[in-house]
Parts: sequence; structure tokens; C-alpha cells
Amino acid sequence: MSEKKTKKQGFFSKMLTDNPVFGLYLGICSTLAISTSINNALGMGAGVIFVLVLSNVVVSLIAPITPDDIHIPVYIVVIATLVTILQMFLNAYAVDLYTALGAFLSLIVVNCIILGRAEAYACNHNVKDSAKDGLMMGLSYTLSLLVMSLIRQVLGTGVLELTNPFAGSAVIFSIRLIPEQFIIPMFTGETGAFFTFAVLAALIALYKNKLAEAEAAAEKAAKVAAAKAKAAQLAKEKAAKEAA
Amino acid sequence: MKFTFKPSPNYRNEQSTTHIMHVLTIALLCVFVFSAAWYGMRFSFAYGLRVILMGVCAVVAAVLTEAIYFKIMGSKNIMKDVSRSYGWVTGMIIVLITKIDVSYYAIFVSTVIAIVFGKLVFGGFGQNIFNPAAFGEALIMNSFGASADAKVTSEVLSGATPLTSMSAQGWASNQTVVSGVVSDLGGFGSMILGNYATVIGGSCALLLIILCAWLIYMKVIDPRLSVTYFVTVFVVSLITGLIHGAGVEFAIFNLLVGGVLFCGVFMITDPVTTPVSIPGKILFAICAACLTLLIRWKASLPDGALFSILLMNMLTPAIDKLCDGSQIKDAKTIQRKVCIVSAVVLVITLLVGGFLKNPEAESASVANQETAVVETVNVE
Repeated sequence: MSEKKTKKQGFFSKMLTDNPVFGLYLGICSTLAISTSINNALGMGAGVIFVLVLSNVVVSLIAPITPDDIHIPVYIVVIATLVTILQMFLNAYAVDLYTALGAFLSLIVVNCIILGRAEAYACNHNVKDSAKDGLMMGLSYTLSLLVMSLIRQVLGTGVLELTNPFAGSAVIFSIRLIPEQFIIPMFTGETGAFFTFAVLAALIALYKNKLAEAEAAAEKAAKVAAAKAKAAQLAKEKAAKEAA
Repeated sequence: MKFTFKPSPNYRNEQSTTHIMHVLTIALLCVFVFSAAWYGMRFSFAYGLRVILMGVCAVVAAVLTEAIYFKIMGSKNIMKDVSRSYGWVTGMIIVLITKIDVSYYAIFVSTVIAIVFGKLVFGGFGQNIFNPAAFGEALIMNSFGASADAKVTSEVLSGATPLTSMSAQGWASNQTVVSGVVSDLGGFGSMILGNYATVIGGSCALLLIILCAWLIYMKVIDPRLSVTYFVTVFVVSLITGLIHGAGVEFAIFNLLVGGVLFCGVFMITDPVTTPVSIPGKILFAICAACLTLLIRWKASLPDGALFSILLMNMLTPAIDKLCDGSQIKDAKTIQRKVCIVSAVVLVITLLVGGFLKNPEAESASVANQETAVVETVNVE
């Protein structure tokens, strides 16, 4: 999608079409594994935003002085440093979240979104744009995680619950939406993750197709109008010539 | 020359898919009537009614889901599309391969998910990769184990089922053990007549065999699949039985219990999800039979018939590719390939079967050895 078109799109619409998870299929592994509860989703999302924004900033700063042959190792070192900082911070202040996220916290290093944005965007844009791009991508990732975990948590456990990870998991709110005998436990497992992911990705694809169709229709209408105007002008000129 | 393109099943003879599905529905109804009558007479009227209601629940779920799906997809004639999608067959099979204590809600949700994700998203009837009924039952087993109706469980399924009592022995059983389990169920006669509680439609072997013969006579199911499946289960378990000193009883037992007969008649014969060529069908049935026995003997799942069919559905394209080519000119090559693959599968199954061990006997022997060691130490 060209720069011009994306600028025309609204913020929300852009978040849907350029969504890293459901639109570009990046970072699916952690999405499938982590999206079991909105707690995990928010924690993971915040972590990814932190790493993504800072890595984009640092990469856009050091990109001009990085030799081309070793740019991937350099970027990975930057990302890994940031992830280690995040990991130590969470281990110190939010132990429950740290244990819940487990290996997927350190696996942020190899999350395709972060290296992908560093490679595709941050290395040839300025610091401000890179930071903005990182925030945007991080927010879309968090939104995808949140939507998926919302569906999975409600269908799988029937309870919508949010806890405060910094205060020994004090419950902020907890609502039972589905009675216990009507839950579908499958949704907390891998099967449910894949079902939810497939349905959401299909919906995003449907939305994208509709946008493309509308665009094609608009283009066609514009072309027809232009051709008509041209024909009218020709006819006018012809009439003028004949009159002359 | 004119080519017509339509999804499988394609038949050379005159029979239409609609006719085949209607005959299949009648056969499934026969099983339903028997099961409802048996549960009604053996336990109470409420349980007979429960079987019927479970069936109604699944069929309603299947037909409703398809109607809504076709409505969303902008179908012009919803009634026709639904009647050409044969969702009720899936619903009926799902009920017949579950146990009676599964809740109505579990049946409903699993049927909906099986119809949508197992069939419709692939493009509807004729395009599905997995057998939708097996898909639905796998969902029930994996996701709704806890939602079983406790009252029904305690009243109907309280005793040890034949499969659990055999797997407690690690299936490495000699003549006396098999005879003991069989006589607990009232002997082979009672097992053939279906006088014990197992999956709803799988108990009465006699009825299933008669239906199998009738369906083969009506050319609704392919005898190559069913018969190969039964023969392989019988022969492999016969050899395994002989190794452990149980023999024919072990083989008959393996053929009768669980869902082997039901799946062999109604599920493995699904023309959509099985290979097209004749050698492919035979290979499919042999592999499915071996997997059934392997899962039953060694895995932690209750029964293998269902999951073996699901796993083999996944391999159907591979089998079709193996048997690709002219079925007459390349017959020898294809036969050789099929023979090699089935020989490997059979040998693996027989090796596993031969090395089956009884966990109780083993722990007992270990304990004996330990006491022996202790005794020798004491003597010293």
C-alpha cells in the first residue's frame, strides 16, 4: 500500500489493514501461546511496545554507521539488550506476570515484528518516524492480542478477569459472563487458539478485500468519468470546427 | 469433448449422491432405534429418550448451522443447499460415537464447530479434508470431558468398560484374562448382541454387521475399505494374541469392543476423505486398522478407531499421490509401493503388539526381585 493511500485511511482502519498479526502474519507464535487471558495480553503488549519503540529509535540512530554486512547481528544485539532489561524489570516488580509469560518474554528477541520493523522501516527513516512506527505497530500487536485473549478467556473460562501485576495480583475486576456448565474449555488450549486466530484473520482479509474492491470501483468510475469528459470535449471541438 | 467438474464423491454408476446419503441415513436410524430401545429397556425410559434427544439436538445443530452459513454466503435456495450438504449425517454419527453421559450442550457446540470448521470452511460437502463427525467427536473428547452428566455416568457407565479393564492389564493378556473380561460382559454372545454400555451406536455387533452387508449390497459403502479394515484388525490382534497366549478370543474381543465396527461401517467408508484409487483404499484401511490397535494398546486415549481415521484422513493426499498414475499400465509399480508401505506398518504394529507388557505383572516381578535381594542380604 503506498504512502499516500495509507495517509488517507483513518487510524483504526490502518490498524486493521496493516495489523502485524492478522494482516502481515508476523509474531504469530507468541500470539497463539500468550493470548489465554487479557492479563497476559496486556503485559506482553506493553513489553513489546517498550522493546519495539526503543529498538526502532536506536536502530534508526545507528543505521547510518552500521556496516551493511553485519547489520542483522547488530540489530539483534540491540533488541536482545532491551529484552533483557525488560525481563529483569518484570522479574523484579511483577513476578506473576513474569512467570505467566515464561519463555515468551525472552522470545521477544526473535519476534518477527521487531526485527522486521528494524529491517523494513527504522533503518532508513528518521528517529521521530521510527518511534511513531514502533508505537503504531506495538499498539496493533497489543490490540490483536487483546481481542484474541478476550474471546478465548470468555469462551474458555467464562470469567473476564483483570489483575494488577505489580501488587501481588490483586484482582481489579472479575465478572462471570458465562455460567460454568456452558464454557468451552477447548478455547484455552491450542485448538481454540488456532480457531480464534483463523476466524479473526479471515475477518481482516474480508475487510481488506472490501477496501480493495471499493478502491477498484472508485478508480474505474474515475476512469469512466475521465473518458466521458474527453469524449465530450472532442465532440465540442468537432462541433466548433464544423461551425467554423 | 466435454468435461464436467464436480467435487467428490464421483461414481461411475448411476447412483446419485443423494440416494447414497438417504440409504446411509436409514442405516443410521436403525442403529438409533436399537440404541434407544436398548437403553430404554436396560436402564429406564428416560435413557432411551435421552438417546433420541441427543440425536435430535445434533441434527438440529447441524442443519441450523448450515442454513445460517448458506444464508450469510448469499445462497439463493437455502433449502436445496442444506439438503445437498447432508449435515444431518454428521450430526447423527457424532451422537452414535459418543457415550451417553455427554451433555446436550457439548453435543450442540461440538456439532456446530465440526460442521463449520470441519466442513463448511473447506468449501462444504465433498471438499472437506477431515471426516467432520470424527472431528466433532474428537472435540467432545478433548474439551467436554468435565461436562459429562455425573448422574448418568454413575448410573450407566459406573462399571469398568471392556477397554479400561483391558488397558489396566496393558493388553498383554493371556487366555484367562480375556475370558474373565468377556465373561464380565456376559460372554461373546452378549457382546455380539450389544448387551453392554459403550459408545451409543457401537455396542450391537450383529446389527452393525447386518447393516454393513446391506450397505455393501446397496453399493453405498466400499467393501474394500470396511472389509480390509476388519480383516486387518482381526489378523494383527490374532497374531498378537497368539504371542501372548490368548489367541482367537483376543482377536474377536479387539474387533468387537469400542468403536471399531461402527467406525469401520460408517466412518472409514466416507468417500470424500478416503483415497480414490483401489490400492489406495486398501492401504488406507490397513494403516487405519494398525493405528487403531496401536492407539488402543499404547496410548492414553480411550479408543483408537476415531483418531486413527482422523490421522489417516490427513495422509489421504499422500496416499493418493503414492498411487498416482494409470491404474492399469502402472498397476505393478503401484502394487509394489502399497505392499512395501503396508508391510512396514504391519511389522511395526506386530512388534509393538509382541512387546506389550502387563504393568501389574511387571511391578509385581520387580517387587519380587527386590524382596529376593533383601532376603539374600538378610541371609548374608
